[in-house]
Amino acid sequence: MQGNLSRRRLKDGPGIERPEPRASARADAAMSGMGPGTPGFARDYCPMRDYGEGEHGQAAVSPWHPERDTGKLLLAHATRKTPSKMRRLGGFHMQDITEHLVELIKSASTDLGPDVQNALSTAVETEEKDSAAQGALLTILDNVEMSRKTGRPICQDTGTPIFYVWYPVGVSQLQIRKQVKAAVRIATEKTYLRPNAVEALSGKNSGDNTGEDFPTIHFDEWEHDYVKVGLMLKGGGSENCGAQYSVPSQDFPAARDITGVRKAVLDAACKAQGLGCAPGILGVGIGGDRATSMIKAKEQLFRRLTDSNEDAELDAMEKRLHREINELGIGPMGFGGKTTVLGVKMAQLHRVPASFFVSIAYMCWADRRKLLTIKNGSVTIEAP
Amino acid sequence: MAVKLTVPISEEDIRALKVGDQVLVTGVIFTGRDAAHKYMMDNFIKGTCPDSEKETYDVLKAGLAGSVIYHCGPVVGKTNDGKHTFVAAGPTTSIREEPYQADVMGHFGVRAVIGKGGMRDRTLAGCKEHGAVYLHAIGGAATLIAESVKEVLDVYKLDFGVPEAFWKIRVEDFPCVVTMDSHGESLHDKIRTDSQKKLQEILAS
Repeated sequence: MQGNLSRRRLKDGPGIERPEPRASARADAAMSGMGPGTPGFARDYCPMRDYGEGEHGQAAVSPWHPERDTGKLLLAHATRKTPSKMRRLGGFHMQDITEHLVELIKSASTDLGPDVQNALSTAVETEEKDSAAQGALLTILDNVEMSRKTGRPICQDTGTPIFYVWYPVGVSQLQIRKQVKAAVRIATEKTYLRPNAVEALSGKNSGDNTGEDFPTIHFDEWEHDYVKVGLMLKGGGSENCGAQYSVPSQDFPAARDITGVRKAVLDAACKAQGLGCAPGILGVGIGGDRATSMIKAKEQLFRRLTDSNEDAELDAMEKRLHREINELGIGPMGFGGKTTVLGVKMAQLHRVPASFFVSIAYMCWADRRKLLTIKNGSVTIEAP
Repeated sequence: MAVKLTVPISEEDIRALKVGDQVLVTGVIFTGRDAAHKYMMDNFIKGTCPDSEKETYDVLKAGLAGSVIYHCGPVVGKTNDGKHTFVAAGPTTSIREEPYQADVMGHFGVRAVIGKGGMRDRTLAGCKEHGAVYLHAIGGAATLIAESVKEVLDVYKLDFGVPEAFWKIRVEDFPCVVTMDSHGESLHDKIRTDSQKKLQEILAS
């Protein structure tokens, strides 16, 4: 029955093409008392003004509904819930989503997405039997399963938590920012995250993963009537392997076209060697200014590994670079081997005529990113 | 077949290892990364140990001889009885310790460094000179490695923060690959040279 519930919710969700059973099951399990047998369940998808009440008195309501917080429709871990902070803003009733954000962090940190795990499993077959490369991949896969089972971080470097928040008109960024910071503190206490925020010059650790512009939060208001939060945990070792090329430059002669982009990406992959915890995933931003170009590059890391680029030229180059980088022979952990990257994802932005930036964001094999959707009373956490 | 390395590790054990060997490390070792290495360099190697740091120095001097420094910033939890426990403990990128590592090896008699990504010429020369090796753990395999950490014995310089402190731990069968040996060989140098050559071929095609 839980499975049914997952599918129905997922089908309802935006931009979701495939159920991710484990994550959605967790979200389902967290929905205390809710299920197909609950009278209010069928109304889970009703328009906002028409919510009923469940048999235990819990309202089957939208997360925006003012009464949702007063009923028993709370998550299983509601005992540690922060006090209800209802906000009436622009006609919306913004509920405190801190607890869902904590679950999002846990899921991202401990449960690797199926696209990445499948790519790693495939890679095992391509490496030479009993080689260091194959041994590294097998250890990685063992570790992934162990983390999922024990609910412990896949990697101790839980990195910079980078949040992307899409929200309806009228929702307060200030409130969401507060809740994101609160969730990060709770997740740090629960050891889903390592305390990672240190003051730039003194190196002093804030102890709770918050600080000046830490964690990173990108906000985007949208026309939909629900909230979606993406989270990527970006480890430091891989972040250090990122690169930005101003094309051409004295040190880097290359053409301002797709061939120059190819040269830059290959150069960055070769310079990275195994240092970013290969096999990695490369996000590439072409154009923009120095800042927007890198932001675009990082956004590409949210794409599913098996997807295709809508731009035919970029799609062909993504596949070509994936193949060519693997021909470099750097291999898992830089031990040598055929799997240096699991994918290359690219996008372009408009630029000023004088500049041509190619920005490369390197993501380690522990490509931890998840999406939280809170829509019409249902909460889903899933891999992209 | 993996070679077992047990602390205290002798120079003979180290000289027998070659690039590509798989090893399992057992015994009492220390974590130490950026702040720890800078601290050891500034206070003990370049500087004369200030009185305030004497106690830490004595612990490190006795503990690191014949032992291992692990480049790791762990996620640390506490058990119900208040004991520290490693929740996640994969290796961090070693190259950041390149300015310090050879000196730290020599001063403290460290026999092995565990990390990821490999190190460069100074450390490689240090390995040859002092009879030490660089062992590559599997980056990101934090839960699995935490399983091989059987006990957290103590912590020093916790004011550096949890990831940067010296954690004294007992490990059992910690799996690693020798990527820099005490004979001047580095797997990282070989892969770098080969891949750069291949890059030129690909760009020319």
